[in-house]
Amino acid sequence: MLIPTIGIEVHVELKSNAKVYSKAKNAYSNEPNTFVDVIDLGYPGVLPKLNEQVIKNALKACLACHCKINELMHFDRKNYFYPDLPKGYQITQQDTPIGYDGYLEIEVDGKKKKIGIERIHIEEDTCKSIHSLTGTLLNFNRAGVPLIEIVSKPDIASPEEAVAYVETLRETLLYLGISDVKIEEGSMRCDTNISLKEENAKEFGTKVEIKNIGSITNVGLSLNYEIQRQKELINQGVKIIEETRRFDDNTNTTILMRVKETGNDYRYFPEPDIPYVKLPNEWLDEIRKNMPKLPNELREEYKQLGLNYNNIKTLIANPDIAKFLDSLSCDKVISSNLLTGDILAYMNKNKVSFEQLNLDSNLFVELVSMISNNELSSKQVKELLPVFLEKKESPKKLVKELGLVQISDTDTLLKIVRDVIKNNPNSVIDYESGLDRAIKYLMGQIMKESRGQANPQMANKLLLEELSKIEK
Amino acid sequence: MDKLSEKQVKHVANLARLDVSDEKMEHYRYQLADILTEIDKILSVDIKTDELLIAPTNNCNKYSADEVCDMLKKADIFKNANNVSDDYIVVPRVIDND
Repeated sequence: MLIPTIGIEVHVELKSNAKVYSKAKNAYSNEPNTFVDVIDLGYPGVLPKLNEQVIKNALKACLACHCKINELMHFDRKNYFYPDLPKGYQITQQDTPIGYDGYLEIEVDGKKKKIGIERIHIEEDTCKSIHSLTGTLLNFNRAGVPLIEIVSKPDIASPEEAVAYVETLRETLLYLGISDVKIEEGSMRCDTNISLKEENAKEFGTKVEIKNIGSITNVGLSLNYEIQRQKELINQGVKIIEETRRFDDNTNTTILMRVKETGNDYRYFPEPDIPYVKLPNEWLDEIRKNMPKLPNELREEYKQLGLNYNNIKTLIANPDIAKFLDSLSCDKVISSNLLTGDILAYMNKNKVSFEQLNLDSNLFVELVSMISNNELSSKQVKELLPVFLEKKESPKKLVKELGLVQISDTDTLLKIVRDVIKNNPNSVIDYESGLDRAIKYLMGQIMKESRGQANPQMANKLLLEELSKIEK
Repeated sequence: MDKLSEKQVKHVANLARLDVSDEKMEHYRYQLADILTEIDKILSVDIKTDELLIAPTNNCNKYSADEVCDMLKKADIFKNANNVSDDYIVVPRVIDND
């Protein structure tokens, strides 16, 4: 049986004020060719100067991916002629990547697996080219934007693992706060390598590289297609050729691209304009000390707290909500239900971010304790929440204003319970003959009679007590 | 080295994105071989070191603070371009399809 071997290269744009080797602004602009200086354009005689923030951000990524660190490193020139790089070379790290030999833990179908990371190195982005009918248009705003390239080992054994790897990497970098990691907008870009071999074969098959993968879903789709394509060729006795293909998301297929130079053709040599780079120990200590909780760690914590799978997934995808939850000292299950349920729905409906919501943690804790003390029914919570989120006032006060106070007085509840039993003799008979839904119906009647204000736990208890008396 | 093969010259020309005419081909075959002969002379010098020399001193790099400085004006950038259109520098179309 033919099995796939997959490796992934991910380029990530790092956040910083200035670019990696120049002091031009590192940001997106609607106006082309405005965030540019002489270094980005490769004018003769200009010298690159390494931005310290870029090194710090890259270090964060390396430590989060359990990499060893090259504390003394240098940069290299990767030579090629293409209009997106007017210097004729890209300043990158070939010999001494800042990080190497790390791993990232992924989970597929409940099974954990460590995917090795070969290397993480720093380099500069190229300018953006737009190909029109009459020529290629160049926008140098992106030239010199700091990048890290994260190269996995060929440890990935299926498209599902590939998707999990990219997703885990994306989440990790997001939590580190060092990149936007938006695949759709190009601040995170994936290239995959895939080859097939017979299960027991020692040597890898010929690898094919897939570029232009515009989303995490497409990582899976493109690999699935490519596995199928290569299987068919191999079964027909056709030899696979080493080539670069691109993913076409209109047809969900891969298409052969123009072949660019590889390996020796890049004529790497050390960049003489940047002296040896020695990482200060203080930086490493500081970064280790201030490392935020990362998604894999948070996932374990949430499982221990008893949160369900969907809530965990939603929390991990929304770091600001996860951070808020982390800061609370109240019932985490109720809190996570509220945050990932009604509150997230409110945010989506009203198109507000969590930051814009400006949720006060003390008031939120007050609300959670009201729910955990059974002072509010779930229906009342739904009614209260939008008002609470808008007015940002004490939920206790709002409950009174909205007339949402629960009836928790035994005498009042008992009267309602007895009336309902009296008025629904058929349901009582159903209950006695063992029909569970009869109790739901009777509870519904109680909630209706009390205009939704009956304390459900108390009413349920009283109802069962009264029914057992009838049985006797 | 006597001379390079035509294939070798064409490969180097392609990396530099240069067209080499037939009449110049012969000239370059000898000229590039001469350059390689000179490089062989340099390589024959015994320098006995395992350490890669990338800078003339052992002083380490000084970092640049993460601050934005004045950038170029678009008009100044375009002074060095042969062809511009609206906000872009234009070069001959570099891909065949797409």
